[in-house]
Amino acid sequence: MNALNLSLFVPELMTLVFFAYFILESVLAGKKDRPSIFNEMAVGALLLGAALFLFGNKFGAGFGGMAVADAFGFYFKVFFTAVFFVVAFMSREQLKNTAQNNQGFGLILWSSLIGLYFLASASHLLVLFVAIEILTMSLYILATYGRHILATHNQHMLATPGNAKAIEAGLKYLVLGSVASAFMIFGIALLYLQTGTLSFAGLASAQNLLWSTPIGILGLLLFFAGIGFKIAAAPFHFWVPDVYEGSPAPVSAFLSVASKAAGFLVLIRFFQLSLSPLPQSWQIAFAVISAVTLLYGSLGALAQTSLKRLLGYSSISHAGYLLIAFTAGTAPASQSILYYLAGYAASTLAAFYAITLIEKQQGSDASKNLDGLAQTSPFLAGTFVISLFSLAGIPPLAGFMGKFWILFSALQAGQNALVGISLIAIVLGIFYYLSLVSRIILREPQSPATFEIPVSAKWILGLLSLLSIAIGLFQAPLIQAAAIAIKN
Amino acid sequence: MIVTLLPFIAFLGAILTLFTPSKNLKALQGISLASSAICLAAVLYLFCTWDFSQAGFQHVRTWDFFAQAGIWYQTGLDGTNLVFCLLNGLVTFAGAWIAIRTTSRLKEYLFYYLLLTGCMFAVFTALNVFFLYVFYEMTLIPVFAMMGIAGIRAKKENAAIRVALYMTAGAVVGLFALLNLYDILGPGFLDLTQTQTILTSKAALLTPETQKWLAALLIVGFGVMTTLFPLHSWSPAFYSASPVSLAMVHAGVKVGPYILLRTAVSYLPEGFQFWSPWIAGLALAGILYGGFAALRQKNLRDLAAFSSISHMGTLFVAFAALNTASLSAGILLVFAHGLMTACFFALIGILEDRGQTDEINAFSGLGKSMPFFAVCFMLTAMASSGIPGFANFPGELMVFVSAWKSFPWTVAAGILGVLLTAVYMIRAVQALCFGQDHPRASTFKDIVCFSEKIPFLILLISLVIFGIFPAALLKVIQPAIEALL
Repeated sequence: MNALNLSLFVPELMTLVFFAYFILESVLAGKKDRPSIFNEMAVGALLLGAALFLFGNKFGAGFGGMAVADAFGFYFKVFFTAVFFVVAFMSREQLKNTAQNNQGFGLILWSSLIGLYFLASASHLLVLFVAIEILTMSLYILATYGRHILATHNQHMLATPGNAKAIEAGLKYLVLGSVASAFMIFGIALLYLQTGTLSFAGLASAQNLLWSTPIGILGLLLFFAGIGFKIAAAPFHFWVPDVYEGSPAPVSAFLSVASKAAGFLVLIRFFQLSLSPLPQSWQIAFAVISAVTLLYGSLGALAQTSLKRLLGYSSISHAGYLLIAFTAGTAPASQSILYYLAGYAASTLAAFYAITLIEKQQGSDASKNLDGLAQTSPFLAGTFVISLFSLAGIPPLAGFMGKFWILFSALQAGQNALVGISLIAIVLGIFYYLSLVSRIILREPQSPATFEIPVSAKWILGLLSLLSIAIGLFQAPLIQAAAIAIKN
Repeated sequence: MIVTLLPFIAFLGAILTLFTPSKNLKALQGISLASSAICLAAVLYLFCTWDFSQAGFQHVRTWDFFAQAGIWYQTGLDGTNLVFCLLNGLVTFAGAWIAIRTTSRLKEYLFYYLLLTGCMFAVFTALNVFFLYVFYEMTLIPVFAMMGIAGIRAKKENAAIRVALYMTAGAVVGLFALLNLYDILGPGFLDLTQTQTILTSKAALLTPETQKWLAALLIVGFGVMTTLFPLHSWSPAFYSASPVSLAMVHAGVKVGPYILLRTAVSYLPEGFQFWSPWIAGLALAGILYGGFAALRQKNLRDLAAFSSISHMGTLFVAFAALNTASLSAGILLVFAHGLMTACFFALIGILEDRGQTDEINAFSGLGKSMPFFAVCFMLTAMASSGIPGFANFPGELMVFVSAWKSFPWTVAAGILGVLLTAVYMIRAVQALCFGQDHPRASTFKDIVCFSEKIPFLILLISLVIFGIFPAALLKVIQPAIEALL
C-alpha cells in the first residue's frame, strides 16, 4: 500500500521531465522568443503517446495509494495527449506573426497537460484537487492571452474592445473559477470531516455516511459544484460564453475539450467507479441539471453572431448530453460518455482550428465571415462543414453515433423524459449548426479574400475530419476501448 | 453481391468526381452518367432475374460491423425493396441527364448528386434498421449542399434550413420510437430478415399500449417527409427553390413510406391498426387540401408540390386500409407517382430553361413551338390525372377498391381528389400548350437533341409499360407484403 511504484507512472514523470527541459531551454535561449517551442511540444506529445503505449499499460496503485494507474486513466491520458497535440499546432498558428511570447504560452499550456495527467491518475481527493488547480491556474493565464495578441494589431492597447473582452474573459474565469475551487476544497474538507479519509477507496467504504448525513451530502454537493464549473453544467455555466469569446481560439478549444473531459473523468471515476450508483433523489437532481444544461446551451446558441461564443453555448449543450449519460449511471452509459468525448473532441477541435485561421486572417470571429467560404476556400469549408454536421449529429459522423449511444443507454436506464428533451435539443442544434453551414455553402462571399492555409493546418484539419468520419463509421474499436476503461 | 454493390457504385462515382479536375466537364458528366447507368442496369438485371417462387428476402449478405449491438451491414431485397430500387434507378438515371446540365460548380453538384443516389440505394438495400436510419438521415447532407450550389437564389437558404429542420425533427421522433423498440425487443430487432421470428418470440413484450404510442411516433416521424397532412408545409417552399434534378429525386423517390412499411407496419401491426381511422382522416384532409390548393397555384413548381401532397394522401389511404391489396397498390402508386413527378419537374426545368419562369400563365401556344415538350407535358398530366394506360391508374384504382370496405367516405373524397387533379392538370395543359401564339414562346427551342429527350423517354415509357402490365410489379410486391403483414 505504501509503495511508491514509480515505474507505473512513467508517462506522468515524463511530463515533468519535459517541462523541466522546456524551461531550461527557454532560459538558455535568453530573451529570444522561439515559436519552434510548439513544434517541440508536438514532438513531446508524440513521445508521451509512445510512452503511454510502452510503459503505461502496467496497472496498479502507487504513491501510497494516492495515485493509480489503470485502464480508465489510460484512456483519458491518450485522449489528453491527442488533444494537446492538436492544440499545440493551433497555438502556433494563433501566435504566428505576433509580438507575443510563444515560450510563455507554450510552457503554460504544457503545465496544464501535467495537471491533466495527474488528474487521470488521482485516486485521492487531495491529489485530484492539486491536479485540477494546476490545470485551472494555467488556463486562467491562457484565457487572457488574447490581450497580447490583439495588442500588436492595435496601438491603443486598453481602449480596443478585443482587449476589453480578453481581460473580461480572464477575470471572469479567474473569479468564478476561484469560487468554484473554494467550493470544491470546502466540499472535500466536509467529506474528510465526515469520513476521516480522502482516498477514493476509503470514501467508497464509508459511503453510507456520505449519502445519508447532512455533512456528507453537503460535501458531495459542493464537490460537484466545483466539477460542474469545469464541465460547464448549469447552473455553473455562466462564465462559458464570455470566456470562450475573449480567449484565443486554441484556448477556447482546450477549455471545451480537455477541460470538459477532465470534469467527466472526475465525475465517472469518483461517483460511478468508486461510489455506488447514485441514489434515486440524486438521480432526479442530476436529471434536472442535465435537462437545464441541454436546453440552456441549445437555446442560447440560437442567436449568437460570434463563432466562439456560439461554440461556447454549443459546448454547454454537449455537456448536457454527456450529463444525461452520467445520470443514467450504467456501465454502457459511462462507456458512451467516453466514446462521445472522442467524437466531440475531433469535431470541436476541427471547428476551432478553422476558427483560428478565420479569425487570424479576417480579424474577427463574427459568423458573417463564413459567408461563401465554400467558394473562397473549399478545403477549409469542407472540414468546417464536416465538423458542424458531426456536432449537429448527422449520420454517419461521430457526433451522431455518440448521441445514439448516449440516448440508447439513457433509455435503457429508464430516463425517457431526458431522452425526449434531448430530442428537442437535437432539433435546435440542427438549426444553429446548419445556419452556419448555410452561410458557408449557400451564401455568396462578401469579399473575394482567399485563405492561406499552412501545410500543417491542412494535415491536421484533414486528419480531424477523417477522424470525425471514422469514429462514426468504425465505432467498434473505440467502444471496446471504452468498455475496457470502464470495466477497469 | 450486386445488391450490396448497388449503393457503392454510386459512391464510387462520387469519389471519382472528387478526383476529376473541375474544368474537365466531359469527364465529370461521363462519370455521373456511367455510374447511374450501371446502377440502373444492375437493378434491371435483378428485376429480370427475380425469383418469384421465393416470398422472402433474396441475395442476402451480411457483413459484421458491430455485432455485439446487433448492428451488422446486411443487404438483400424482397419485392418491396426491389420496386423502390427500380424506381430509384429510373429516376436517378433520368435525373442525371438533367444534373449534368448544371451550369455552376458542376463538380460539386454531381458529387452530391451521386452521394444522394447512393444513399437512396443504401436505404432500400440495407436490411438493418440502424443503417436504414443512418442512410435516410444522411441524405440531408447532399440535399442541403445541392440546394446551396444550384438552388434558386432568393429562396434557397430559407428552404434548405426549413427542409433540414422538418426532416431532422421527424427523424428524431422516429429515432426515439426505434430506440424504444430496440430497447424492448433487444438487438435482434435491428435485423429486418428476422422480423417475424422476433415478433413471434417476443410479442408479449409489446403491450397494446406501447404499440399504440410507438406507432404514433413512427407515423409522425416518417410521415413528415411523405408530406402527411398537416406536416407537409416544407414541401412547396422546398420544391420552389430546389434545383430540378434534386426535386426529381427528392419528390420522386419517397423514402418515408418504405420506412413506415418496414418499421411501423411490420413491427407494430396492432398499434398501426389503432391509428388507421386517424390516418384515413389525415389522408382525406391531405387529398382535399392538396387538390384545392393546387387549383389556386400560379406556378408549376407549387402546383407539382401540392399535387404531390394530394397524391400522397391517396397513399395514406392505402396505409389506413392496411391489407395486402391496398399496400401493394400503395407501393405501385408510389412507383408511378415517383416517375410522373420526376417527369413533371424535368418539364418544369425545360420551361424554366427556355422562359426563365415557371408561371403557368406566362406563356401559351407551346404546342406549336415546342411539340415534343407539349406532348410530354400532356402525357404527364394524363398520368397524373389517373387516365388508364399509365401506371398511376391501376395504383389509384386498386387503392380505392381495397380501401372501400373500411373507409368508404375517404375513398369517395379520394375520387373527388382524382377529379381535382384532372381539373388543375388540364388547366395547366390548356394554358401552356394551347391558346394563342405567344410572341416570346414561339421562338423557344423544343427538346430536340436526343440527350435532352432521354429522361422524358425513360420516365414516360416506364409509366406506360407498367400501366399496361401492372401485374409485372404487383407479382413482385404482393408476396413480400403478404410476408410482412
